[in-house]
Amino acid sequence: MPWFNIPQPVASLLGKSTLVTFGDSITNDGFAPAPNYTTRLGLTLNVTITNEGIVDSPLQNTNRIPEGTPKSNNGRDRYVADLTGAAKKDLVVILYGTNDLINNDGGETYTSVLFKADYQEVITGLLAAGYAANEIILCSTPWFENGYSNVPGGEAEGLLYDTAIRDLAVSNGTLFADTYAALKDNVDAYQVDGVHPNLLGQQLLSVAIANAAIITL
Amino acid sequence: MLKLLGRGMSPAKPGVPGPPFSMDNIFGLQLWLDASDTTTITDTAGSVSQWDDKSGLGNHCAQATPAEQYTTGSRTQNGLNVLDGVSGNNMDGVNLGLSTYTIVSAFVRDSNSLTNNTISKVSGKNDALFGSDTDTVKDYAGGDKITSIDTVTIGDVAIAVNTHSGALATLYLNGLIQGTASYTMLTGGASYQIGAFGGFANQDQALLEIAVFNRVISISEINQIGSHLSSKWGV
Repeated sequence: MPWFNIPQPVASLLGKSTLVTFGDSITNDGFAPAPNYTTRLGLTLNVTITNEGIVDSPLQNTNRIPEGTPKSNNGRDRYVADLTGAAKKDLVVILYGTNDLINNDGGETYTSVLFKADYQEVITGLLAAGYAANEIILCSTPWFENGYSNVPGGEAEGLLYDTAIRDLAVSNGTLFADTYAALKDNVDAYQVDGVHPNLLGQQLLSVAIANAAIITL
Repeated sequence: MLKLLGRGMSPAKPGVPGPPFSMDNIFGLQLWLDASDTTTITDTAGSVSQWDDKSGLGNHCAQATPAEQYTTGSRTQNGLNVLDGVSGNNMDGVNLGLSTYTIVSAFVRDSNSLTNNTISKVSGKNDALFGSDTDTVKDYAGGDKITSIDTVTIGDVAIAVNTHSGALATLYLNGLIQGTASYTMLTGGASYQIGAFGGFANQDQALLEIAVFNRVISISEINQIGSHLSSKWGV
């Protein structure tokens, strides 16, 4: 096992009590080998974790073809219930994009432009709900170890999503965690499907997220 | 005093590489055992009777009983000498009198059987870093206070760091936080012991390097030490 540099979180992440992780199966406990990145974040930041990762969830609520409806449990449609009001926590980590990329096949209508628009709506809602910008961590969509074989447009399409997430972090003043870079080219960090991080991948994710920072273009 | 002020305090000159890392670059070093430095090891036909402290404070560890002595000169890690342990091997150190401290321990386990302690207070009732028949590392004080969430792989170098600030303890393994706990330590001042202790005799691992500081060193300093040990011992 390599030496991981212990994270040194920015001040806005310290002294908090609760954190919610919001995303897909990479975040969901059932798909992530324990202890997953959410558990590790809890230890690193000394906060209680609520895991709102849902398997197969994309962020955008774009209508699909031929269903003509958004995918259920998409992040855009569930963030109010899962992250605000009584569900509000001190900190929120958003790790999305994988299913938006995978679902962009067979005539689907998902795009990075629509992803960015829906993501902005989520961020605007979180700010209105009382989260400070530096209490929100946006994570770039993790690298696909399978060569983006299930993503039309391949890695280039993935980078469009990551650029969108970076732009959102800059324009909204949120924290940004480069979880794409943390996993890129690390073939030892994945489960056999080449999409879900294994234990090493979860360790790398936790370090990258705990080191989230304000970025500029 | 001059030596203390000189430790790593000078600003780096542009274009001039700084001095290589050394454990005593970190302020507060009380004990530093380095198996790669064979000049610090006293042995008879490979059986180690004394392991000298490199902190400069003379806190050497010793074992006079041949049956309990580690072996040197028989095994290497990344080309460097290590102390090889088998059941019952241990060494006695001195009482450092610390209630706030950092312990760093680099080791290679050969099995997960029984205790596989690296360093503890005498009789193992406080400050122990060990396995207890598992593939984990534990902070022990009359009971398991912190058990690592990550595991130690047999044959791989592991680097454990344990900090205590009064009652607050934190355990790191290979640069990942493993947990924190708050508890009252059992004894305030007992001598340190390396390896097997009390009724837990097994010691099936190689010891590479151990250091103790009289303060909770910073995360930056832990990372500096971890990166150095990782490179040195071939993690």
